[in-house]
Amino acid sequence: MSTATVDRQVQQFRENFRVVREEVSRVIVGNDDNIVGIMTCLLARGHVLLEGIPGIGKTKLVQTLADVLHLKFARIQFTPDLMPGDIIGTTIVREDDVGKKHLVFQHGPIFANLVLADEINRATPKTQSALLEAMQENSVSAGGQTHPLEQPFYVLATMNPLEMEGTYPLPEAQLDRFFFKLRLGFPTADGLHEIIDRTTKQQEPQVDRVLGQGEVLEMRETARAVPVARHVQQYAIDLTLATHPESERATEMVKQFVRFGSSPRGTQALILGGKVNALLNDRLHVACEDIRTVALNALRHRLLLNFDAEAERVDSDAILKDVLQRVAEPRA
Amino acid sequence: MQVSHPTSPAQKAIGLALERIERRLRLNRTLYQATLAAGFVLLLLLTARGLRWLGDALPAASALLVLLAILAAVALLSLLIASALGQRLTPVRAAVEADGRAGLKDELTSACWFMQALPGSVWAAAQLERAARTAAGLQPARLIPLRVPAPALGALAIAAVVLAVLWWAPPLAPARSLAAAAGVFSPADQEQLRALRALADALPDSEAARKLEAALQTLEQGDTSAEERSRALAQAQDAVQQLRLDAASTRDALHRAAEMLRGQPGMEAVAEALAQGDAKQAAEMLARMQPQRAEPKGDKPSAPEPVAGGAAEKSLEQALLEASEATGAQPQAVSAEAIQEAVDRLNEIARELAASNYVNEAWQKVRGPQIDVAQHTALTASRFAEQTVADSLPSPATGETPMGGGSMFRSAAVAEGKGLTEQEGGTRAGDALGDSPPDPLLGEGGERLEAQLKQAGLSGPEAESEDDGEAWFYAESREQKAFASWRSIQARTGFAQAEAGTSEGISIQHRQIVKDYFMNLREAPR
Repeated sequence: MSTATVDRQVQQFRENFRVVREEVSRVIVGNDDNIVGIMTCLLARGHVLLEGIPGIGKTKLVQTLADVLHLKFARIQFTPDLMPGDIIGTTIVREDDVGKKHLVFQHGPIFANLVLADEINRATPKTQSALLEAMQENSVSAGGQTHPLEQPFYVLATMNPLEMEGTYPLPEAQLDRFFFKLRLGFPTADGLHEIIDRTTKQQEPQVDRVLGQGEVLEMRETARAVPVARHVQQYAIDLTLATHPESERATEMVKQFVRFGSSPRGTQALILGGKVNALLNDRLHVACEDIRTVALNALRHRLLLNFDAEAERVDSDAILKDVLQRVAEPRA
Repeated sequence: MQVSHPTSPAQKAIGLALERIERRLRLNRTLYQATLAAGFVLLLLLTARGLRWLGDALPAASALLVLLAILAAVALLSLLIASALGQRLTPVRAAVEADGRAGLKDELTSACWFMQALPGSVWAAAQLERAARTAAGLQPARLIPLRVPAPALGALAIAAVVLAVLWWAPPLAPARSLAAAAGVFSPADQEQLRALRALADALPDSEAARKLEAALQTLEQGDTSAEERSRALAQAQDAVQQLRLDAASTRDALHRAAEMLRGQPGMEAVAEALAQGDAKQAAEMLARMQPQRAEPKGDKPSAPEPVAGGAAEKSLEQALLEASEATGAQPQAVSAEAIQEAVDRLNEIARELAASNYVNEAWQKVRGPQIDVAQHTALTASRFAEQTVADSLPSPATGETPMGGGSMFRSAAVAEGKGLTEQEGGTRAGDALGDSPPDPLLGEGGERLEAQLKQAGLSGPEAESEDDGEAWFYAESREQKAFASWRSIQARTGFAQAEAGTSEGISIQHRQIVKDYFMNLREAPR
C-alpha cells in the first residue's frame, strides 16, 4: 500500500461520510453534531446512547440512519416486562420433515447490524444486562453456545431523562459500554418550522440507501489506521486521569463533585473518536483538538457524580468543560 | 523526543524547515534576553537617578524605591535565568512552536513523532509527506517575527521616559545634601565654613579653640566623605558651644565678684562695672587706683609673697579680694602686686568676653542656614534635640533665646539606689513612650541626682550664711529651713541660671554634678 492509497482511502472515507450525513439531514432537521457523533460511534466500533426528551426525533434519527445504511435493522422497545430472551433469542423445539424434533436457537432481534434499543432504561436490569455481552464481545451466549454477531454490530439506545418513574437507571457497567452518550437538544424555532414543513405534507422526505455493509467495514478499518502521536495519547490520558478525584491531576471541581472518574474505555473512546474526527478534517494524524472535540460525548456518561453534585445540580458536562479548560496539552 | 536521522525527502524537508524555525526561535530568545538585560540596566540607572533625585528629602520614598528596585531586579534576573536555563531548543520544540503559531493542529509535532516511532508505517509516511508540504510552505520570518513582547517594550519605553524626566528634573532634596553627596560644599556650607574659620582665627588659644581648629581642618579637606564632614561639623558646633559656656561661666564669675566688692569701700565703681559685665572698664578703674594708692606710700620696697601657682591660677574673686584688701593696711608693694594681678585677670576676662561676643555673632551666622537645612533633613531624635537645645541658650550679648524648633527629650527614669537588688539598681532608660524594658545594669546604684543637687545647694558657703537668722517668732522645721536656704541659693544664682542654664534648667554650678552623675552611671565598674 502506498501513500497515494492512503490518501485515496481518506478521501473515500470523507466522501462516504458526507453522503450519509447529507442523506440523514434530508429527514432530520438540525442535530448535525449528533449525526456526526452517531456515525463516529459506528465507525469506531462503538455503541451510542441517545438521551433526550420525548418527541425530538431520537428514534427517527436512528431509523433514518438505518434507512441510509444498507444494513439489517432491528428495533427493540424496552418495557418492564421485556425478558432477556426477547432480545437475544431463545432455544425452541422444532420438528423436521421426518418428524424428528431438534432444539434450535431462534435468533432474537439483537442479531442485526443496527439495533435500536428504544427507551432502554424502562427494562429491568436483568434484561438490560442481556445487552452487555453483545455490546462488548460482539457475541451472544445462549443454550451453552456462543453466537457471533454479524458486523457491523451497532447498538443505538435511547433514554428519556424526564420520566424517571418506573425506570431502571442503567448501571455504570452498562453505561461504560456505550462509546458516546449524545444529548439531543430541543430544536430552534427555525428548526421547528423546518420539521413542520417536512413532516406535515402528503409525502414525507425519503432517503436512499447510500452505504452498504462493505463500505462501513472499510471505513472502520480506515479509521483504525490513523496513527496517533505520543503527546496526543498523553493528552487523552491526562484528561482521563483528571476526572479521577484521587488523582493528582484532578481539578478542584472533580475533587468536589466526582465520586469516580472515567474508565480506560473512556481513553479508548477519546482516541478512536479523535481518529474519526481527524479523518473528517482531512488529517492523517490525531491532534489534541480532535480529542477535545469528542471529549464531552466520550466521557460525560463515565463520570460518577457524588451527592454534592446532585445537590448543587452540577452535571458532568460542566465538570468536563472545567477539566478541558485546565488540563494543558503536553509539550511533546 | 529526538528526531531520527532523515531518510526520505519528506523527512529531509521537515528537518530543514524545523531547523530554520529553530534558528529563528534562538534569535528571538536572544532578543528577549537582550531586552531583559536592557531592562535590568535601565532599572539600575533609574534607581540610581531616582535616589539622586529624591536625595534626603523623602527617605521613605527612597527606601520604597530601593525595595521596588530590588524586587524588580530579582524578577528580571529570574526571568533571565529561566530563559537561559529554560527548555532547550530542539527540532521538536520548533515543531511545537510552528504548530502553535501556524495553527497546524499538531501536524509537525506528530510528524516528528512518526519519524521516530513509526518508520515503516504507510500512514505515517503519508502524514509525513503532507507535513513536508506544509513545512515547506512555512515562512519562519513571518511565523516567528523578531519582536520584543509588547508589555516588555512598553515597560522599557516607560522606564526610558521616566529616566529622561529624572535626568533633567531638578532634585527634590536641598542643595546641601546634594552637594554633600557629591563631595562639594554648597554655598550655605561655604558660608558657614568661612564664618567658623574667621571665628577660629580670632579666638585665643584654648581647648575649645583647638577642637574647633581640628574640626575645621577636617571640613576644609577636599577628600573627606559626607559622614566625616558631618562629624567634623558636629565637633565644630560642640567646640563653639563650649566657648559659649565658658563665656557664660566667666560672666557668672564677674557677677559674683561684683556682689563681693559691693560692700568694699572705694570699690563701688569697680563693682558696678563688674555688675555691668564690663571687665575692661573695671580693669581700667583698678589700674587707675594703683598709682594713686602706691604714690602716698612712698618707695618702701618689700618683696611680696609670691602667690602659689601664679596669677593665672588664682580666681578672679580671690584676686579682687586681695586687691581690695591691698587698699587698706597692706604694704605698698604687696598692694600694687595684688591690684596688678586683679587688673591682669580682668583684662584677660575682657579679652575672653570680647572673643565670646564674636563667637555669638559667628554662631548666629552658622546657626541660621543650619536650621534651614535641618528642617528639610531627616535627623535622628537625639541629633535634633542636640541642635535645638543648643539653640535655646540665651545669647549673652542680646539676651534673646533663638528657638530653631521644638526639643525632643529622651528622659531617663532613675531608679532608687538603696534598698534594691543589684539587678534593680542603676538606671532604667526607657524610650520616649516609656514602654521599653530597662537597660541592663552597668554600674552600682548611685545617689539620686536630685539629692546630690540639693546637697550641693545646701552645703555651699552661701547656704551656711543663712543660719544666722534668729528663729524668735516661730521655729521652722529642718525641712523648711533646708528648703528656704535652697531657694535663697537659687535666687542668688538666678542670673547664672537665666543666662547660662540650658532648657533643662541645669545651672553651670550644677552642670558638673549632672555630667558626673551620668558619666559614672555608664562607666562605673560592676
